[in-house]
Amino acid sequence: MSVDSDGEAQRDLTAKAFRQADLDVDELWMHYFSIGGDAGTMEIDAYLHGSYMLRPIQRDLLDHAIYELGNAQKA
Amino acid sequence: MAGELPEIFARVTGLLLTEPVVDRAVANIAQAAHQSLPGSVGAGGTLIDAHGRPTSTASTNSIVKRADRLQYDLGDGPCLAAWASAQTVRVDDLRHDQHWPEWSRAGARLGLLSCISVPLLVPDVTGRSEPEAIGAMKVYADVPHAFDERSEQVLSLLAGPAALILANLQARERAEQLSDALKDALHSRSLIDMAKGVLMERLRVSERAALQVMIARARTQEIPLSAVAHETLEPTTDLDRTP
Repeated sequence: MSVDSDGEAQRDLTAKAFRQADLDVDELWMHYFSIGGDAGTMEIDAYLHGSYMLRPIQRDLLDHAIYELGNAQKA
Repeated sequence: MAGELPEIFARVTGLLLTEPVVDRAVANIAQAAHQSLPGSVGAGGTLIDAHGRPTSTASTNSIVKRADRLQYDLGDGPCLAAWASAQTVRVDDLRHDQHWPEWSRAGARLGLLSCISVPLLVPDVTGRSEPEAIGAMKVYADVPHAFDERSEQVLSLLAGPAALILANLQARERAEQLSDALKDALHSRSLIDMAKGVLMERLRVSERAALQVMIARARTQEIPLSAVAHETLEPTTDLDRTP
């Protein structure tokens, strides 16, 4: 797999989790920022809608931010 | 929240107005309403929170304050109705009003016989949704039928700038809450960054690998990433080197 297709596969999974968790982008950004994220709100919004690619670490952080907020919602 | 970060900097640099300044400005607008509407015995503006409670008021005199207090104590009345419906409310004769009989009769005993309340509307900055009602501006008269459509128009015109000034006060409160959230975020961020660096050194791995070790641990133990960072940085922790 090329680097790009890795990124796209991860993006698809994260975007799916984002839709299922039904999160507000601003709220998500604050949490993503609090765990070390560097990208801006517009960038993460574009990434989640498939029109932008984040660097690997930023992808991991965003995915985990959604995971944590999704769990907090369920609790 | 990210979009509101500029509010924090605005507050820090003193661009947001303080409460006394706002109260004085709104009291001046209320005074303008009082003087430009024939029959008026007093006017005022009230900021109302999401639960229908008044948070800040400015009025031309004590009779307006008393009539207002009555309304918020009863939990119903024309100002709350104007705020909740975002529509102008006019009562032509408080002695015969059927909408808020309890408040109207009490107002009439204070000598207030007619009134208009208009919502304080703040335009949505994004332009995507309807203006938000953040309070009400009202004027009272000691005779029935003191006000007409023209009075409603005048009061609505004055309510525009009053709403914008009061919105500044709301922005200030929000900025205060935001700066607390931001402080927490910066603290957790720096803990996680430090822990990541510690793991890179201990495990001799890349930045991303160190982060993935922490994320895996957070998910297995069902704890927040910041807690993993905290554990990692605890001097007594005997760290498990296998992810």
